[in-house]
Amino acid sequence: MADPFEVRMRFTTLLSHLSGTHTSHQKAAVFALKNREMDEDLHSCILEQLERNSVNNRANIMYFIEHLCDLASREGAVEFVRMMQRDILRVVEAVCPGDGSGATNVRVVRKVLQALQTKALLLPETVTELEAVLSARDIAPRTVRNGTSGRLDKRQITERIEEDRERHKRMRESIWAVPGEDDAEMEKLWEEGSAIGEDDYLEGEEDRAERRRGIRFA
Amino acid sequence: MAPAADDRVGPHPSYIEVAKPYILQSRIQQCLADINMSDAKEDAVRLQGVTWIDNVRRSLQLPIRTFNTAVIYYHKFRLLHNDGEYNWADAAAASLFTACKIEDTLKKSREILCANWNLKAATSEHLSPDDPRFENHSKLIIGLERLMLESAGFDFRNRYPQDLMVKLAKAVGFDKHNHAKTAWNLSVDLYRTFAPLKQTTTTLAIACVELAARLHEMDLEKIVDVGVMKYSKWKTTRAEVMETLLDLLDLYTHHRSVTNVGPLYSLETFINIRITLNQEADANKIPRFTLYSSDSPYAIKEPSSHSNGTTKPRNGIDPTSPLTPATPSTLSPKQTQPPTSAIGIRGQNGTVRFMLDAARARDERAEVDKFHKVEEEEYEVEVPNEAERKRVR
Repeated sequence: MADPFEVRMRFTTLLSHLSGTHTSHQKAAVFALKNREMDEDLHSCILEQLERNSVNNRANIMYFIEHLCDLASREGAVEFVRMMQRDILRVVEAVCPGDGSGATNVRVVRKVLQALQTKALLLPETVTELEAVLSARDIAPRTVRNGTSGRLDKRQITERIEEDRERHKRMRESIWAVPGEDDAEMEKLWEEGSAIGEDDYLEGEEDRAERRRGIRFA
Repeated sequence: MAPAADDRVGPHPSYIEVAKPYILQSRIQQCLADINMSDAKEDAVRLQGVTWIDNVRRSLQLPIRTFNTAVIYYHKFRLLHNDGEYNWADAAAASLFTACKIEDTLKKSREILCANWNLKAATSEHLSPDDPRFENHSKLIIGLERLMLESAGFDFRNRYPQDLMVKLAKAVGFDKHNHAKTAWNLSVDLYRTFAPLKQTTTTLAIACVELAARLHEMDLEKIVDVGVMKYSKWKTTRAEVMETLLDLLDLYTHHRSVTNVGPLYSLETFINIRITLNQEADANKIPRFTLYSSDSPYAIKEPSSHSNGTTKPRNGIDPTSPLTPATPSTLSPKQTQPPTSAIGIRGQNGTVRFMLDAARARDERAEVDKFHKVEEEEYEVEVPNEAERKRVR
């Protein structure tokens, strides 16, 4: 049986070292699931880290939460999901602190909340309430403050840019995915397709020309 | 001094491989005969492969255009490589992998192999793509990718008939959930035939709409060559559409159970439609297949006759033919010999260039040949008979 203290330590390390890559999130989520008997402890680790780390890292943890809830609900570890639902306000407040530095993370939070709602892990009413909190926090810092939750230094900014880039790349990789059955794709073409136009006829003509060339010069 | 036999002026002219966006029936049959593929074997490999690709792409949630491209590559590859050279499932995987790159729906080769595995395994045996089990197989697939691209002549112009087909279906008033669905499924089955290699996008789309209309017993007055489906507008002909319809019906009458639409209708339904179309074709003397200008009218053997895979004599040895025997590429001895490259020996003697424009390739050849072909002419010159010289005594 793993030593609870050690498990907490390791999980904390994993959380604080989250990056934009999918693998780092995967590793941490799998670790949490492996130690699901300690779910309460691990959950409190998450909250702790959220209230302690840099703005960038909090964004990463926010994404991680989405990942974790997804994996947990699939593996039947509902406790994680439940605890997250219970404490979601605290999470949002931590990721988007009110002093203006949280503005950078507002978009992140919105995205994750939407995803959780789509996966039916959060109620729409909850999301609407949280949205109200977010709009209040979506302001640029009026005064420049020095301190851990103040402005980010250059290194952190670069890091954040890199991680965002990585995340966008990953998002775009699956943008074309169509749900299992063809019906969905056909429906999309049906609804969104333009009417037949000049271009289509022109393409027909060009295709014929090309085919005829091939036939003549076989 | 006699000139050396291999007297050459200048650098090697290199071999040109021209991409063929359309390959007609006679060429397809010739290719298959050249690699000793019997009809029955070819049918089996074709149908199994397309089903493989279809199942895996659904599991990976790939859009239909990736499926289209993958199947085309699968067909083209099989026209050049005898099935003893490769495992059809590997070819199917490789064609899907290549298509994913080309259609910008990237998937790692491991993911494709893993999806295939998971489809056949029980949930408890499901693996993740980075399982070491897929390691070697994945490398094989990546190796095949290059051959896929060569077989297709690096031609990335691909067809996407479903796009137009849905527009047409909407325009002729198909029911979105009923007739249109049938047409869509027909278009997927269509790739089980060789029609997508032979026909333009418009022909394919129109044929699917028409066959769906026939299956649903719609009024054909509004479908065949009228209004939005008018052939002259789309620059196709009844012959091409008919060829495609008959190709589809061939598929349904002989292989109904392995298609998507086949099991939904009785065999009789398909046979009846086919009889009607045959009657129309006979009455209007519509040829079964489009022929090349250089084909004789008897170029095509009827698909119902079974060939024993006898090789037909090729018309001369064309140095740019992709069927030149090739040298095997070097690989670790553990792996089975992969299919040989179409470039092969030619690649050792000179460069092989892949071109898209046939006319340009021809012109270049004509120009270059002027320097390489030694033309000899014999002609007689009349020399006046010299008067006998007076010998000096």
